[in-house]
Amino acid sequence: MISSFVHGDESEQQKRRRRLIVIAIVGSVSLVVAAWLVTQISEVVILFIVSLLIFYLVDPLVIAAERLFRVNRLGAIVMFYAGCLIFGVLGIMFLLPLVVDQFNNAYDLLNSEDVRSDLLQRIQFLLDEYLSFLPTDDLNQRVTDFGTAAISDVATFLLGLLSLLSMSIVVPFILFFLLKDGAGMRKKLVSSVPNRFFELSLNLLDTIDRHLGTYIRGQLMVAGSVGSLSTIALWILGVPYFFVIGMMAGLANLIPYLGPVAGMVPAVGISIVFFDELAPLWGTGYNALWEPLIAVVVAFAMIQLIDNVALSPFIVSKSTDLHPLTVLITVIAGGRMFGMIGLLLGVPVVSIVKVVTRDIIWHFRHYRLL
Amino acid sequence: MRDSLWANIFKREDQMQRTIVDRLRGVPLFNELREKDLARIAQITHIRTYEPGESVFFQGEPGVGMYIVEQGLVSIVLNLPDEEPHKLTDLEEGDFFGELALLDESPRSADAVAQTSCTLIGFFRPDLLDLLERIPKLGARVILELSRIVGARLRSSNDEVQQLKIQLSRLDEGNEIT
Repeated sequence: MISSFVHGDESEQQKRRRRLIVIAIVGSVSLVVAAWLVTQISEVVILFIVSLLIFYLVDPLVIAAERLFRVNRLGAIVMFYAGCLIFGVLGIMFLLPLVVDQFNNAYDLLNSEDVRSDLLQRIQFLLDEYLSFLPTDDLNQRVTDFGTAAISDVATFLLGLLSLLSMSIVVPFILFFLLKDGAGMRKKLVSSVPNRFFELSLNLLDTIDRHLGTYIRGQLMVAGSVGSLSTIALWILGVPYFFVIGMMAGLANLIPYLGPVAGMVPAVGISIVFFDELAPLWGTGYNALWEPLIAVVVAFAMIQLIDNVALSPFIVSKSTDLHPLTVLITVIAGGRMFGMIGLLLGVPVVSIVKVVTRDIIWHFRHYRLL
Repeated sequence: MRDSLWANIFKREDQMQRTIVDRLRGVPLFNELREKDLARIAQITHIRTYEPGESVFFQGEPGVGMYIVEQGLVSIVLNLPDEEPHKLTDLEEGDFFGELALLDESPRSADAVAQTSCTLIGFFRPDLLDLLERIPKLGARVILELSRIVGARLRSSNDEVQQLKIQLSRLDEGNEIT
């Protein structure tokens, strides 16, 4: 009797282990296939991810419109699109010429050989003047290599961003169907699930939806705030291309640890290039050389302080934080696979995968499937 | 030909919608609602079918919402450690169960098992929370009815506990006299 009980217990354990192994193998294979598919159709994936990000930002607005104006879902979506159209037209009329102008100038500037050599000369000058104790021969080459690589990266990023903007015409369509049929799609998806997994799927989808919404809205709100603050700070400091650099700083802020520094580099670079224009704003003499640069660095440091003390702790959940090493590997892998966009969206996507995986494990445990 | 095909599909959907609305009207949670609101609730419900012996949910698993028996017979079964499963009740057409899970994710207090082929109408917490956000008036009305049901059940449980306490003290008094 006892032996049969023990035997039964063992076979139950074996079954459980076998089930776990099967789940692990199927999961790993699916993950590899999914990753391969993603690399094959990267543009479509990026467009869908962008639409999904916007969906999570916009959905609460549409719900608020439904409630406030007592219209149905479609009515609220139409109102949202009408609002976007009005703001879009106003934006095109007033803001677009400025943005396009700044983008084009920034791109031309970065591509121009003169400016590059001028920038490198200035860096060289600063190093010779103030850091002369360093072995400059080797440093020259290093700075030149780094500067050239950095400039070409930024140029590629701007070009990538522009090409993505041209593709973004599809985004409003994807977004429309996500807003209109999202709930219906979820209901249909759940309705096809077998009874044993029905409550699990319903609960899991809802939890993932809520956590994703909170994470994405939080990230975009912080990125938007940092972007706006950077733009305003650079505008006040008189730095040219303040809008483009500010926007880039906001986007770069999506990458923890590395983003804030990456966002500051273009601002410092531009400040060095346009030192002649900025210097008069800051007086003359010994300090004039450093002051614009220090002002830019201090402004970015202050914005980071505001972000870390006043914004992120209240908006972004700590539980989605990634280990610095994970961030580093993600950024490198994202950059390798999808270029600048991968660099930028890598960390948010991995954070999303972390949230989803954690929710799946919690649900599988509580529904006794693991 | 095509028209009649579509007409058939829509007719079937309409019939289904009407059946759900009729069934919802009989449930205390919804019986104060207007026809229009019942139709809105019907749209967010889920229809599930179960084979005899199949579990609807298991004791101890996180609850996600309530079910209304549209067709068939469902048993509520309590599992106690080291004891045979204990059947608490049988539920038939129009009865509902699991409504406490509309309030939170706390574990189910018993198993629900289909005794015959069953069709159940499910109304779940995520949809109720969504309703509260979109149409707060309607969501609040459902929550208010739910609170009334839970309150009434709490009062009846309290009465039962009181009765049991009185009986227990009488038994104690009897023991002391003898």
